[in-house]
Amino acid sequence: MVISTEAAKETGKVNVLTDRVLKRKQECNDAPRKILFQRARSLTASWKETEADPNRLRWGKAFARVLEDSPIIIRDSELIVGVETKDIRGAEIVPECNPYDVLEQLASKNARTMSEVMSATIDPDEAGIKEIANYWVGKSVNDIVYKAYETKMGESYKDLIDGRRGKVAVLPDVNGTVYKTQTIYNPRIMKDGLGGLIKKAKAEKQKALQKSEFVPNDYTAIFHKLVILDVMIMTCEALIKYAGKHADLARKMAKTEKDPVRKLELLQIAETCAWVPENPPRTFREALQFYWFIHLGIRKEAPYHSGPCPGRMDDWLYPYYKKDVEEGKLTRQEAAELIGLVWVKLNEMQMVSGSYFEKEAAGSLLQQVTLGGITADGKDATNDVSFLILEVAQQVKMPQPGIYIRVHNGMDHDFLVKAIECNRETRGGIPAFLNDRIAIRNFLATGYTYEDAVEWSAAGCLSYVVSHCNLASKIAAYIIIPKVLEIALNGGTDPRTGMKCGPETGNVTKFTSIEQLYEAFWTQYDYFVDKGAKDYWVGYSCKVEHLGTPVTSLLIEDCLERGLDVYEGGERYPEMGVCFGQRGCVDVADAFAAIKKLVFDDKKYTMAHIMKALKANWEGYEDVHQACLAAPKYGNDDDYVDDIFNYVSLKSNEIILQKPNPATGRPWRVSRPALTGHYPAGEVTGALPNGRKAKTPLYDAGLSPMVGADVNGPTALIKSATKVDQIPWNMDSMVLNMKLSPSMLQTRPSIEKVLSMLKTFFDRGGWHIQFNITSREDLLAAKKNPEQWKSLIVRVAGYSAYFVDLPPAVQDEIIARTEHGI
Amino acid sequence: MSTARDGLTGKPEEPGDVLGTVFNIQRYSIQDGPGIRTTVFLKGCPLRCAWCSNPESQNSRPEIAHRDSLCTKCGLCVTACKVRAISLDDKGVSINRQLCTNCGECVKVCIPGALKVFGETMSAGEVFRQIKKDADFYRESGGGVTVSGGEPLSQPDFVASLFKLCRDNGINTCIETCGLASVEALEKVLPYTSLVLFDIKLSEPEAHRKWTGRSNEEIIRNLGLIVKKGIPVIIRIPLIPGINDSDEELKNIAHIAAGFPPVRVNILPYHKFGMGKYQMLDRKYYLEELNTQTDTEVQKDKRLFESFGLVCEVVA
Repeated sequence: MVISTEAAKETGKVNVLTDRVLKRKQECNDAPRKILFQRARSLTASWKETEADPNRLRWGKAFARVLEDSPIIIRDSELIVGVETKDIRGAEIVPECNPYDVLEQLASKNARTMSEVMSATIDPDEAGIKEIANYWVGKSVNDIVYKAYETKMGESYKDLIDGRRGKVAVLPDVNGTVYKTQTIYNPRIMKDGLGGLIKKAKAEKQKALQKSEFVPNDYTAIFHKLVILDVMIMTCEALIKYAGKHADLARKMAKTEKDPVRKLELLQIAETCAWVPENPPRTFREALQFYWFIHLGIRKEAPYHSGPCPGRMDDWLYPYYKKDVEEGKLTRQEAAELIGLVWVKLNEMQMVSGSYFEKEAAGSLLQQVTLGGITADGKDATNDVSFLILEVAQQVKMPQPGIYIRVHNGMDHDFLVKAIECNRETRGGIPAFLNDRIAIRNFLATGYTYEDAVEWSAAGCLSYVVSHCNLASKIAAYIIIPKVLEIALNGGTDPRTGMKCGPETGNVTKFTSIEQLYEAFWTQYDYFVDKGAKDYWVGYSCKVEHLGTPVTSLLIEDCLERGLDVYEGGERYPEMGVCFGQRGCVDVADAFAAIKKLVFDDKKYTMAHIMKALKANWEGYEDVHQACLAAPKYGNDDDYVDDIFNYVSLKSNEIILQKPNPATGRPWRVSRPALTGHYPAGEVTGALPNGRKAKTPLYDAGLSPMVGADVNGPTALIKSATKVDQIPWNMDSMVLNMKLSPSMLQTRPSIEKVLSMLKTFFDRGGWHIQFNITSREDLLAAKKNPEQWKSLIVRVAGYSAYFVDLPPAVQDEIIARTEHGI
Repeated sequence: MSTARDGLTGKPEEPGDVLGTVFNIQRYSIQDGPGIRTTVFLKGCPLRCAWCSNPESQNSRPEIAHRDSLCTKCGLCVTACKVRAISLDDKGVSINRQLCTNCGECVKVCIPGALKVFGETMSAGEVFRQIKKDADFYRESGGGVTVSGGEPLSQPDFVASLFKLCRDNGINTCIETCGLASVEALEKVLPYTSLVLFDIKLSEPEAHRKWTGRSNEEIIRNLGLIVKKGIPVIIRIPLIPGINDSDEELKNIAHIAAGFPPVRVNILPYHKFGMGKYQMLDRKYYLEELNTQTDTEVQKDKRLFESFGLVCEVVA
């Protein structure tokens, strides 16, 4: 549906920050983060009682028990109800995955925090936690995974556990609590409601029992199908009961409520919760409440997962919105407030998931909302709710959820303008932009129907998935490419540990051409990828075997008909593949460019001299360091280095794609995730020929240049980024983070120019771009550390200069103006 | 006129071979004409405006500049300088401009890029190759190339050759000019020019001479000439506090502009971002005390131009 400019303007007039939303936002921001173990207690109690049951049934019963014991709370002034924990910002521990983190923290008497990032405190009932955690010692997913590694690899598996601390260049996902996947809300279940699903499951049970043509072993399959269907029924009933308790509570509260307005609201809450999720929602509000119960269900099923994602929220809310507005039951303002309340709730969600993941994702839950895209008949899917959601994000200004726009050629232009304005107001990142055409192409290539493919949405950081067909991709192993280069430069030895960890590839100081270095590098790379591909799927397989996903299996279509959990292949399409994560491709391209230029082309330094400088972490080699920094850098539309990036990027993918993947029988999928993993990966990597110092962070994300090295402006960066086929078929994430100054977004003409740039990025085959808006803090940092901010340009008509060149007084003037968005 | 080939052979030269002196090529320029543009800044200007924000553009020869924030005080430049023009203290380097021959030896040894040369001889072909890199962006946004300066009309053969190459490749061309040029120069460049951004700084010839070093009579004549050819013109007026931004003076300027329909007007609020470049070149900036106009003042000035029936935009 195409929105008139008028409608866009109307959206701008809504006030999302009503007293109610402001109050909830304040409560959320003020709430301390707490580590809780209520879920763990219920789960453990159930687990102890179900030892004789089949594994999947145990997860079903455990989930029902968790929900049964969940706190029922309706907070003051709430309209959409349901909480994950008794505390506003509580995080549940997950001892069934990893009890050791908890025990370790409890053992250290002085530290009451579970996490540096979250600085959360542990619930004081320590004895309870200890007992629960101890129960899982030897039974947790971590134990099972480690055992499997030991069986597969013998004693050497112990290196892997240390590998998390960076002993090797390729890191497996050994930690049971490291995220595996993410569930995306599938709005199709609103069609029948959970009551309808129960009926379907019962009918399937009958069909299975009446099946007469037995073949050998089929009985086992039928028996398993019955278990899965029973779990589904049990899960639906638990969710319906959980919602019903909210209805009861609301009615009870209404009886004693003095304020007549609130009384009415409570009665409406009661009516809503008595109806959904058992029945299909009839109104906008019921649709949101339906979704919220399912969201909580997924959280309670697996708090160790990131997400879940609300998915294509504009698409699934719109029919309810349209109907209610047409019938005069809902105004734009009311809809905005309801969405605003859900936005705050999404920020209440917390997670503890092991120290490594924290560094990877800095505690973010990655609950992604997707807007726009196309409909199955090829039309622009942007609608009134798409605008409304951006308005909510723009006004609420909280970190969750992330928003992604599926950009396509027929997209409502006003919507894109709104999206840029939203970036300006939220200081960037919200929303981010994705290339609709590329995702659809990749789904079609995997065998999806067009109808299913157009339903894709964003997940994780950043994967793309069709909510009713599959789960988001999982990362089974990471390879730190700069670390591989470091090992290649040292002939197979990791200089950090002195350990010989790769094959012998020769003394680089004897090399006479860059090609020889390439060859040594690829030999090491192939070795480490092979190691990862052969061994590291084990951990992933164990988790799939061991964990059950009762709620998620309800959401993924075909699980019910097949009678399979989604982890057992219940999903409609074979999965896109388990991901092999890569980090630091651009760093390596820059490093090769510096060596090629300084050693082999210009012959300014010998390889031996560079190696000495690297070993000394540049100390005493300031000239070499500066020369390496000044060598061609990716991000400047310079073919010298961009060609190398292209080469490294394609070949590093190709090598992974050629490896077998025993976990799925399908090719690996390559992923260059964004997140914050460039910090831990950087900590274990020494100085690199691109001029980077040892232990400092690698470049962030898949397509970012070295900090401050892109001195030719945004168009040059886009050119560099789009010279390579960004998302070849079966590739996962690859993001370009681009810095914009607020002055580039101030007026409508300048917004149009940013949009032209965005469209050119997509025309050139770009996949994912997001903007950071230069903030006052950035400028203060630039004043202090000019060498890192060489690329920051101040643009005024007929004039431009690098910020770092300005005298302090003028810098201060610009800093002052940035408050008001210069 | 200089060319890459030996002028004595008498061979007709290719447009790509014509040489010019360029001091900056800036991609993603969004305030120098429509769409996304690449702005090519040329060296050399006949005016010496007191408020000039690009002092490095004024001289036609290359000049050495020092960017103190990037200087690591290594001292390599001091020894590289053959005429001993460079000295080093706590703040960084200073260059004795009397001695400096702008030979560029110091720049070669400066690894962090704190020393740089403003001004480089480039052929129109080389510059064109740089411009062409953003062709996709021009197409999408309706942009193109803008040649600014310095004064583009001071290097007419170079600009004409460059523009011919651009036009032949479907790239929109624009000059940003102070208006002071010979008729011959105009005749060379205008046939390949899609848009002219034309500065008017002051209305009175004497005041113009006082603040820019030259009278404006020839400038106003050239404006008429360009408008008569039917090339779209946008008049740009930098608002300099106390110098040309009184109502009376702006009315005089508006009166001139209104005499050349269908020109449009851009007004540019004052800024002193160029101050840093004066320091880099060891020159003095005389208008340090002035402050930018407020939004209200600028909007008032905009309405003043509109009251003359002119389309006026604020460009900041």
